[in-house]
Amino acid sequence: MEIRAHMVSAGKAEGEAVVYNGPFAFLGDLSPVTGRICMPRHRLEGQSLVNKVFVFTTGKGSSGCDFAAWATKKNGNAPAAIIYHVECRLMRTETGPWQKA
Amino acid sequence: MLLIDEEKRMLGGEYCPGIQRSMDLLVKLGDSFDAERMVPISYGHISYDFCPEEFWDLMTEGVPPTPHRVTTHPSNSPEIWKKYGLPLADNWIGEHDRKLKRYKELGWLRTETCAEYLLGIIPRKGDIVSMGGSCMQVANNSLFGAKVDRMGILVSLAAAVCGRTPLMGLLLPENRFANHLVELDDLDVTNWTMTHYHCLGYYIGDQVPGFKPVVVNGLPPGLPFDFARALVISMPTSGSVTLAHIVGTTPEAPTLEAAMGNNRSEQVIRVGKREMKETWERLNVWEDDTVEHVAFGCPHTTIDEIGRIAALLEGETIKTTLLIGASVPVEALARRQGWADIIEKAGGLFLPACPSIANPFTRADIAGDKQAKSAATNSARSAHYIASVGGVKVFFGTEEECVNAAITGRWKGEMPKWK
Repeated sequence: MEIRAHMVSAGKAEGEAVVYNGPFAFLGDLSPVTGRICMPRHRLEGQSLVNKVFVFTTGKGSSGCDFAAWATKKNGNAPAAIIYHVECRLMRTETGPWQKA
Repeated sequence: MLLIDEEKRMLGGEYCPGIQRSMDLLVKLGDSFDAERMVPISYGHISYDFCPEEFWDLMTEGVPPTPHRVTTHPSNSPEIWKKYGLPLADNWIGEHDRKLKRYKELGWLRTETCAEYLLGIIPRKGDIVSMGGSCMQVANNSLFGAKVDRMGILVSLAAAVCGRTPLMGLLLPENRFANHLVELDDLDVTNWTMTHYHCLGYYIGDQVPGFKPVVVNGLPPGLPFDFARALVISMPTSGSVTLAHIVGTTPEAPTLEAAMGNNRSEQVIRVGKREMKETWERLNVWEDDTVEHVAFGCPHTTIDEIGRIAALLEGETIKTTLLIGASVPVEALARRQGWADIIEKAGGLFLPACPSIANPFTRADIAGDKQAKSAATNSARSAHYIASVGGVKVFFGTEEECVNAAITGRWKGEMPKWK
């Protein structure tokens, strides 16, 4: 399958795809400590996103998601790449180049 | 983006590294979303404790006290956590104290609440405000008609440092009309409590992809403040709605037509008994009925809520720990009323901080081996974050059910009879 998308952050990545048809938040849905989906009763509960290519609809939730994303990456538990298809303010700042400030 | 001379000086590093970095971030953000220019903010709201020290230091380096007002979200309270006897509280003191010292040097206000409008810090209709905290973003936009765009905490800090924000998103009048219409299907809301509105908002947030405005039709006009607030603040928990009009209640929605402008709704979300029941069930994540903790105040309690809780607790002694998240001024008023004493006599505690994401009793990295393994709450937002960030079992129910759980240590909450 080929997905063409607007680029937020340049780079090359490879990984198994994890596809979720719904919104996603770095704060609350994903444990920065394990890199696994930690939201109870989430369809992907327990699924690891570490080094995966994560495809979902859009971002959601807390304005603290930016730092939750950063903590996940710092811990080495971030997905290899993320692709989403409805524009999201936070997701763009979470994954944009200025995250590397 | 078109920058004025002052903004060019900020970006060029003529003031200090903090202002330069902050302006650089705002320009990148604005360019990324095709903002035409920057606009001044009426005031800014940030969170120093949700911002890691690395970023806090970078963005505030060399920054002098700002001419505009800046306020803050609930902070960590390691000294209070220590008084509660929570074993890992000490780990949090150093970073908190350093950031707070810098915060005070900046001349910023220690509001430390997610509900500043209860302190009289209320934006006027049309005021441009930059803020972290999705719950006050949606409240200020929806309930007061302020112009607040959805942004993360780092961006809100940059905007507070610079006193300006890119003109984009919900700051633009044409983007404030609703794109998603919510209709209630034969739901009788006569006996609904705040908790029911939390549940409705949580369902709606989950159904809306993205952050385009929503309008909720079919509720009684002039909805009480606590109900309207519960409804809108739950949406950016399960989703990212940052402006929700309620027909007949919120300032930009005297009528459905006014709220929608010329938009045709992209989607009609119908909510009936089944959706409410499923959401209520989804927010209840528990196995046995033992309750170890009760959390109120997400968002920070209004004085009326405290009055109701005090009435329920009068003369009682609780078996669980019970936290009431409230700002210091609202707690002071509760004390004057005699309500704080009633609650504390029963065993309840006031916390001028966050009782959800940073609830000290349900966070293993604060409470250590004293972590409560289950918590009851009347807020969907609180249920969501205590279950996920705290990783403990959660009971979601009305104020009365939560107080009963605190008194008995058992959950007897019931699924409402949806009519």
